[in-house]
Amino acid sequence: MEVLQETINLLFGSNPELRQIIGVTLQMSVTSTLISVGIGIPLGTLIGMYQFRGKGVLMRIINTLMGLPPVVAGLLVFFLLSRSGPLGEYKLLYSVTAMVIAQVLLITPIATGLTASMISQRYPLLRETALGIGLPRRKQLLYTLYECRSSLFSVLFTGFGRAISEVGAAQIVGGNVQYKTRTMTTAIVLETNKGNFDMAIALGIVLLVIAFVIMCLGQYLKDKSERP
Amino acid sequence: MIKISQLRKSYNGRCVLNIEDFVFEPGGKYALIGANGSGKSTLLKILAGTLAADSGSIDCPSGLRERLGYMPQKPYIYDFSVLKNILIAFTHSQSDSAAALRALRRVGMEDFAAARGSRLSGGESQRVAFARMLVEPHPLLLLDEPTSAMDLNASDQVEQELLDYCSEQTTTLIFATHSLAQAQRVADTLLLMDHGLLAEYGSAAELIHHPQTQEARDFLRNWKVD
Repeated sequence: MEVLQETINLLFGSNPELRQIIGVTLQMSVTSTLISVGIGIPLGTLIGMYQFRGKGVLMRIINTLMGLPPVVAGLLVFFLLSRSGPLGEYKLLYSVTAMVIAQVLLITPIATGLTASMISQRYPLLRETALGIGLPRRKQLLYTLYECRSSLFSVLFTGFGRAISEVGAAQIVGGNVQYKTRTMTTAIVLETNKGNFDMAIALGIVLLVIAFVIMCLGQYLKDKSERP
Repeated sequence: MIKISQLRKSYNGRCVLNIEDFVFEPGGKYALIGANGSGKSTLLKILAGTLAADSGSIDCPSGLRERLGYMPQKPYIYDFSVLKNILIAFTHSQSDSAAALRALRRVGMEDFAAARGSRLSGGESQRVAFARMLVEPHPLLLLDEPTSAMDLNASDQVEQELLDYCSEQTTTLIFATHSLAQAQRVADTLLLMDHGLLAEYGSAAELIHHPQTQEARDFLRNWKVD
């Protein structure tokens, strides 16, 4: 009952810290998803469409990176951005930018691998027809992406799902700094560590509600794209 | 004239095509017949340029490759309107809705112009794919079992349109079929493929009624053709 009350208060109350946490969570998740799919979808499309030497090895590497543990990605970015690291001079550690970088490292292989696998399956049939009617390469690419649009939306959703639910990397490179880099997931970990379980569960429910609303919006756009 | 020499293709060590020499004369109509896996589709794919041969050569007039039309066994109909599916096939000339609608009418699909490509049945998809071939003049037309999913009426209509198109455009036609009757009606030369080899070729009368090779006799044993 207390959890429910806490959840309602969080959802409909005017807690400035919660609003700030939600803002950081969305900023980090949306930015990292857009950057990741911006890199992963074109790269995956090229890998899926063309046959080249080393493609099998490349796919195995990408598939391995799809399962990259978030703490490993976080650690890698931490070393890169720490004061003595190669990018230390930019003073990005414990910022939302650092969290976005870590998440891009995690999500880009997922977007690339899923896109490559989906294009590899569909492209041979599409290519045969396209070559048969003499479509130029640019149109072949355009129509291939159009035909795969539904699956590409799924890539976007998968990336966003990973971004919004991720905690390990965000914690390491963001530092869970109040009013700066605290996200929903790192806040949940903090409240759990404090033994404040009601608050942790309430934050978890709020996170799910936000994810649900965004996924509904995405699904609406996906359905709209499939209508004539 | 399209001359193929020493054309070979293998998949995982299994030879699926092995043709020594053959010449397709301009304006000729050739039917590839043979059992499943005899190499008909592989030959068409190699001629169309969608599959590379392991060795051998195809000599053809310059520019022919760029203007040939190829309809695969499972033609893909894009998920936009049937009319747009036809319009995208105007690759060498200005798209023309009236000409696209005329092509649809020739295959009895004009009522489907606004329908979505992904909603069509197998036979309807083949008719639309065939209409897509009609909007451009192709010096060489390669069709892989173009009417396999069509009902008899649609198949007859498409055959007639195919013959008209070939005589209008003086197109060289090479098509694969499992219907000997269709091969007889449309083609002037039949090529019998067997395990990747060109077992025998000749006119329908020669090949069907006076087969010279054991492969041809075996293949024709189960067929009753008038």
